Amino acid sequence: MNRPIRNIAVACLALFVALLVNANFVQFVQADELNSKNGNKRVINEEFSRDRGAILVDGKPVAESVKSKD
Amino acid sequence: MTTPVWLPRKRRGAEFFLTVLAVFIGIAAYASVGLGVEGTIPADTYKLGGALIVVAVATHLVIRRVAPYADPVLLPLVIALNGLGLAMIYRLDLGRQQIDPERAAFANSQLVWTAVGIVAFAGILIAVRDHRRLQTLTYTFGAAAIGLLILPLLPGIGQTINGARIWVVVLGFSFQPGEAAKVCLAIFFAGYLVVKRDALALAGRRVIGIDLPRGRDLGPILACWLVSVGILVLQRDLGSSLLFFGLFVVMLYVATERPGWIVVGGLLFGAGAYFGYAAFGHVRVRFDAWLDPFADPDRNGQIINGLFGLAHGGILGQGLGQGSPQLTPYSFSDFIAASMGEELGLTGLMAIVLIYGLIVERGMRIALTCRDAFGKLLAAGLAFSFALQVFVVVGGVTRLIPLTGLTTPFMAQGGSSVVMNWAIIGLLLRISDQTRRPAPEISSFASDEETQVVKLS
Repeated sequence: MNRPIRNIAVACLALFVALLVNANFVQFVQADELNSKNGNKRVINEEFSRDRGAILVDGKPVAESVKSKD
Repeated sequence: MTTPVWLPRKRRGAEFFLTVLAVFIGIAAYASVGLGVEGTIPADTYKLGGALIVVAVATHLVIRRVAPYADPVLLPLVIALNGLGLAMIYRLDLGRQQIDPERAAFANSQLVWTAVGIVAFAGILIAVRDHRRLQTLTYTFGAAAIGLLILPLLPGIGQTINGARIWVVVLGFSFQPGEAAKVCLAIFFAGYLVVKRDALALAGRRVIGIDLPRGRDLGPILACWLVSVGILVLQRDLGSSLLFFGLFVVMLYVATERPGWIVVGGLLFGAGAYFGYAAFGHVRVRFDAWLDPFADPDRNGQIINGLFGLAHGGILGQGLGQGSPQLTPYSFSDFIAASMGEELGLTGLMAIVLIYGLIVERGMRIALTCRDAFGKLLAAGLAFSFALQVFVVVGGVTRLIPLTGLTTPFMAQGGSSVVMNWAIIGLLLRISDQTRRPAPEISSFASDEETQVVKLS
């Protein structure tokens, strides 16, 4: 029974290699494309949570970022 | 070819060292979840840390006592996965409750289920002193598998959750009997095929180049398989039917050494997949979502969200507690691999896949070195079903194949899955202990002379 077990072991290795290659494809090759898709909440949230700094007039802030509840 | 000399080594020290590393991974993950979400190390880190250490020490001691020659790598790998899974479920509890404080928390119940799983693991190692004993219960396990699969269909205790009738609710606890049925079926197939392998491989007639076995040899196993797959189709649990079918075909191939079975299995699978696509609406939805998820972003929100999470994680990840995996529906169970990919990045996801790969290949190694046919078949079957399950669920989440509902072993939230996977590891360790143990010394016949009754010379 050893020969089929060896073959199955190699087949399992192929399955895991496929998973690894596919993870690289999604998280590295496709990543930029996915991040720039419309409706990507994660990227939108990231843009909103970026601190923009206050607008200063004569050294006094006239407009500041205020934390929102969303 | 020279035969390699096998020196029995216990390697329990190596196991202990690796286990310390694995426990450290779990505790560090939990602490960094707290740092990422709330800016402080969670106050109850000592609780989870203590639980993990107790679990690790207890399992290690049990193995030292009852399975001293068992494979030293499996336990640390499993503890690392389980610890990471617990940390991620806790992290998702926090994240999901930020969205809606009413949402259920799963971390504590998962911890309890892990403890139950470890009791099952230790129980198997202690109760089953020799895996060949299981062979005498072949048909009992076959019947048990079918019984377990029927349970969710019974009125009163069976329950339909998310369109699949695969749950049993007793006394407020819900579990999926399908997970236990998988192990029972593997034992049944192994026990049956060991007895019938020669008949299956040699008796029968040849049709268009393929050796068909006699009906009476194949009958019981085919009946058992048909019943289990039929039940699964009735329950709308296609992931498990795929898993059982793969298990069945591969064990048949290993037992008979006929590659034809793989071909036949592949053809049957193709036909079944086509039938599923044509007959079931939800199969078509899954398939179309796999081909082009963005064709219907509203319907395919979950897979799209998972992909967004993976892409957002990138190579190094957002860091535990710093991404937003909670945006994905079922991020704590079906999509926990995507949550890992988002927070631990490509690096972390690849490490996790490699851990799974190591578990599978250690299982295959146990099957190769095992001396009895039953142990070989059982170890190969369990290892392969584990590999197929990981492939189907991680591949589904990362859009390598269409998404099918299966649990991610040791990580996904869900009691029955954690318990049964610990049980599988217990069985594998039991077989490997038998395999790596030095053969008992046979006393030389010289001492027998003194008991000779008839003098020969």
